[in-house]
Amino acid sequence: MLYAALAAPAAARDHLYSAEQIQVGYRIYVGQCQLCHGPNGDGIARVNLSRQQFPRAVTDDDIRKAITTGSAAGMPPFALKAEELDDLVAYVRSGLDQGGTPFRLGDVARGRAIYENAGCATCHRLAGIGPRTAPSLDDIGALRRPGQILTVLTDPARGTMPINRAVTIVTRDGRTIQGRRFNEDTFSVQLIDAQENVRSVEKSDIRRYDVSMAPQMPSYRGRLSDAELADLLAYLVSLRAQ
Amino acid sequence: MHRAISILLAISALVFTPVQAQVTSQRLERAANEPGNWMVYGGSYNNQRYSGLHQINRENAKKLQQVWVVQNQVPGAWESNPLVVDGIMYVTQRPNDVMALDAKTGRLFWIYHWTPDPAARVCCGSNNRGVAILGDTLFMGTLDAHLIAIDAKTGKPLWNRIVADVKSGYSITMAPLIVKDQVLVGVGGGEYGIRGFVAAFNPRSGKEFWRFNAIPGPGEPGFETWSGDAWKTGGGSIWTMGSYDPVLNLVYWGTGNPGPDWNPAQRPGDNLYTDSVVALNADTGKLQWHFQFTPNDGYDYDSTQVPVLADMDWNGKPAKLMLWANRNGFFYVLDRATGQFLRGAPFVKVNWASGLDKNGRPIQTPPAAGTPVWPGNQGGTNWYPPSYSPSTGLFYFSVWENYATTYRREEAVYQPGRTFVGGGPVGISPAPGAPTVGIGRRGPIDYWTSEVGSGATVALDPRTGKRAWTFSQYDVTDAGMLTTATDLLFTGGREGYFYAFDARNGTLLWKTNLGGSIINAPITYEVDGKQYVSVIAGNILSTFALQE
Repeated sequence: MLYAALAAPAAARDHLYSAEQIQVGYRIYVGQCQLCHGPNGDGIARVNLSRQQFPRAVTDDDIRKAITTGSAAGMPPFALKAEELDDLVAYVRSGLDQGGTPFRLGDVARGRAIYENAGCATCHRLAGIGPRTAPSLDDIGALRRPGQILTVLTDPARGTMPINRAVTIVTRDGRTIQGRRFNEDTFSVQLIDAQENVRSVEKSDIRRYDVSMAPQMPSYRGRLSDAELADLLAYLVSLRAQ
Repeated sequence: MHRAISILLAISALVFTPVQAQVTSQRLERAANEPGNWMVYGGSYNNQRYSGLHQINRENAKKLQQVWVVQNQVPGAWESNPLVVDGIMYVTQRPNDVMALDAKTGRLFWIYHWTPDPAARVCCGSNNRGVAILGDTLFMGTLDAHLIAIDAKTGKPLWNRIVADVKSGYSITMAPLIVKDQVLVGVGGGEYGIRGFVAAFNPRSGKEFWRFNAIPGPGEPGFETWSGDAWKTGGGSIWTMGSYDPVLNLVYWGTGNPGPDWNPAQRPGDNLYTDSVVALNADTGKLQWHFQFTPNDGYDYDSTQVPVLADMDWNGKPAKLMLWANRNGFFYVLDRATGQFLRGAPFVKVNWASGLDKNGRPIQTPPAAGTPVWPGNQGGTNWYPPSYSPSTGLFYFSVWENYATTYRREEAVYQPGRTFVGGGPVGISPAPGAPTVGIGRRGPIDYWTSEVGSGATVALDPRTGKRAWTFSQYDVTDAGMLTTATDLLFTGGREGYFYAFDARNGTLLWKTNLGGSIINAPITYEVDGKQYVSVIAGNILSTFALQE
């Protein structure tokens, strides 16, 4: 509500993507776009729709324009109704999320301030600042869909990628190693420990191995307003360093 | 005296025949008698992937060392199956290159390039699973659904024939099958509303001899299992390799999913002959019998596994059997002369069916919309070739455990050459809503973890349908199998380990990390008295032998 008071209603609507819009957009995408762009949005060189990589488009209006006018590179113009365009843009902005998790993108600059003040950098690292105990966020906007990032923020128990879980290892010689998992296979596990040492442990040397199902991150639902979450999400989605 | 002469003849045959003799169809039929060569996809027409070589055994397997490596120059999964004939290896790489190598050193003799039509559409990667050989000619199917004959000595094309229309979504990824004086090849495209078939061609001219349509047309038996026009886009791709029984004069093929994949309501009926095995007369392609594993499939349970033919005692009598671990999660034993169902049981968790009836037909129990289906979209197992060892009597294959998929279903509209799937997976995990990602993951980091599913190398006793042993892998595995007369089992997994097991009990005898996923089966061969084992891992083809 705070957000609605601060921003123009049209702008707010421009950045709200409902589950219904995303799902209708998916069906339009399958019928109109998938033949060239492919099911993962990576069928055309230098364009990756699920990672939000466009040759020129920045805003939603840019995407609308590209769809309705086509491009010199060979994309034909598509005659879609305004509502259909909104739905298609929502599907593209969702990172081609067939599940249709609804999300709202607020203001990137305000989101950056929230990132700095809400305690994110206590655990996460970004642009060389912050500890390495939680995953670094430099390219989180390219790695994860907006809906996935929002789920981590509001329901980390469900949103945490299993590979990132906290592990506790007791070795056969009695040492205890705690850290965040990087990778695992049949014979070994790779992790970064609480002292930020990168470790690889052979399973044959392990006496006890616990993978914590409890999230290491607090839920920000209630800590941040919906408008603040939308701003923070917009900032995180904008992080796409290579 | 006569005896002495015949022994002398036998010795001279041993010494001289292997030197670049013609690969006759008689030689192919007796491929098992030449364990030094690997002349057809599965080592022999029964697709047992069982080699009679015995230099490498359970005692010395730990002395295996890499003797040469070839690096692929093309990115993407490398699913090709090499052939080795008289010291020369023939292997394909993406999209449709053929290479001839010195099997002792890995040095290249020649490479043939074919650039497929850019209109080619394949659901799951620009794969090619290898060539077939007859005489001095290699045969390759291409992504744009051509069949090309290539001179095995020079790598120059001899003829090039269009098998199906690339613009309608047809493709060829399988290795062709030589049967007598015919080249047999089937088509992929099950996600594009094709009508699948397998066809036989003249190896010298490319002229088509016969064609078996996997989806029957009006007036043909099985047509009654379709409604309206659904048969026209019914799928039934044939994209994995077939088997051949020269005595019964039958060829066997597994068939793919019906189209659209995930919306069975759009095609009421059993949808023959999708998700089936078909037995065809080897001379005419006429259907002899069929067995359908998954009628009216709504889960993309292609039955595109390689049919494994085994002769063994069944209920105390010698029997000609077919062994089949299906993508749908059940293991089947069939009588391969008649198609009669003999036994079937799930080998992983299954919830889409409560079991099989006395004829082997699944008793379907479709899970509620939006809830997980076991096994998941990639199946309990898939196309990666299994092995049967007549020595141990066990069947070996790769399994995905504790792995499920949730689907979304929708009406599919057919447009030629476009995706025709009727929905798709929305979540791949035993836990609904878990943060998992797409099915194509093949990187070095296992970000699925065992919470989403894990792999296993399984040895199953066909007589009981029960596991004899299981080697659990942390990651899922798409590796094929190779067994030898010394009771070794060679296989691998996505993690990049290449394994040698004691095939009798699953004891791990040797392993090495090749740094890339093993997503096909190893082969073994012999040159100048030395046994080699070759395997593709990631972008390398690596060959091993015993330390001198």
